[in-house]
Amino acid sequence: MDSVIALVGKDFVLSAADTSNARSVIVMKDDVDKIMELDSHKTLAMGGEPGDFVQFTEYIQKNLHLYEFQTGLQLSTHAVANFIRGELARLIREAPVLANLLLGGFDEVSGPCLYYIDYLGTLEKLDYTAQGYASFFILGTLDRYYQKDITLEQGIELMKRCIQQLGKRFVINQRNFIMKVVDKDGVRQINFE
Amino acid sequence: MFYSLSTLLIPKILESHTEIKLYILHSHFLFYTHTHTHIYIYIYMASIGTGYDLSATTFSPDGRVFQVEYAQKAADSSGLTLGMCCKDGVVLAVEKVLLSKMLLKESGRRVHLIDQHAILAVAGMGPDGRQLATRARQECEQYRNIFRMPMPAHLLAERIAGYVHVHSLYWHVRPFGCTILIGTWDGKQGPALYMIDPSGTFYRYYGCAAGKGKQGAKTGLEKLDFHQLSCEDALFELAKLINAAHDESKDKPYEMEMIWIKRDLGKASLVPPNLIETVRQRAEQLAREEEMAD
Repeated sequence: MDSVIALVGKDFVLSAADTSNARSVIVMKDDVDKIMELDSHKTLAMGGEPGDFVQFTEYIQKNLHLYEFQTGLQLSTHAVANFIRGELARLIREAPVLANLLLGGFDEVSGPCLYYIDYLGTLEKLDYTAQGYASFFILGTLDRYYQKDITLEQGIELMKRCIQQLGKRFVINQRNFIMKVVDKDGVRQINFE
Repeated sequence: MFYSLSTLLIPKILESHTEIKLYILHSHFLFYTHTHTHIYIYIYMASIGTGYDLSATTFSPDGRVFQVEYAQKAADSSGLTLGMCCKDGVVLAVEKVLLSKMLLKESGRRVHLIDQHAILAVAGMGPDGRQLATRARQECEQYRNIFRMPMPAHLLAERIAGYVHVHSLYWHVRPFGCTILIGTWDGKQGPALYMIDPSGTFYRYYGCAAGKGKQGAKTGLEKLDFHQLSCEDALFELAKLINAAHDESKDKPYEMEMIWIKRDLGKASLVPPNLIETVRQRAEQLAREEEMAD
């Protein structure tokens, strides 16, 4: 099961996701990138059913690119979050998509923001959250150690702590995690450990 | 049978005209006598776009679509309509001619609220403009439903212009007989003003005018510095321009309708009637003083 964690810092959004694709007792791939870059200043970390979330997030990404070509505008994170939520809410009663997403974005106007979107069309703007089984273990850790306006170094330390907690208490061994940050300079991957 | 009748009629009514031959072709598709004769009477009387102006789907040999041009004439025959960007908002004003003393003021509005951030003014046929305002409201509402954000100005203008244009492509609908001014205020980009004419052409302006007297009004607008004027100043300037364009002796009495989006108010609203009245009195007073000084 996918573990996806994200938190908002002073001027960035940090996302982490595990990189394994496993079915029953077999690990099929252990270097999957589950954090998609929607555009220059947005990441979409995904979890759920592997085929569903890839298909759906690519659909969202292409629609955003089309919007940008047609109008010359990049949508704000708020607009993208509501667009994604609208699509999932429509699909839940037509052709359900098991995609649980964490949308992190940096807007010039409103700064960093994080949105929790689940497969039913739930939408919440949050400072820190997790999807998948990780939430059972990590929300407590984040409650305890998260503070508003943390710096990137503190954020990375906190994320490493969360990943260690998962390694300690979660029965499924998720060996690798990938971490990406969005700030005013765009999206980049963080190398840690 | 009717086709052969019509070929007899042609030489009797008119001398040989190249345009008329087109009508013979055109009549090939008509099957009712009354429409046949109706058309021939029309040819006899038409003078401007003779032959090429019956439908919006016909180009003339010199590349014009006459139906669209006639629609533009309809739009130009209304009272003066002005729009202006200011440093803290957008203002639109319409000179609404009062056709009768029995008319209740503030009815038959030509300025419309589209969304909290968008306003629209109509020059030309009021009902056509109302239809476009409804469409603009639907576009903005749909955008808000999907993205939970106000619709960007150039996107709204493009959509409405596309809608207007589409009505000049088909034989069974007529073009809109109105020019519309769309004003928006965006938190990031500030004020925006677009003017869309019946052909579907649209441009973005600092200040624009449509309707009778628009040339003089455009000259007047060019003298203003939009970056310095506030919305209240803009109201006064527009009132002055409408007053200048209106000829007391010749034209009927008029009502001034104004609508604005002011940054301080936060959302679009009709300008209060007493404020319009104040501004109009000031403008008329100023005009009288200038006349006496001359």
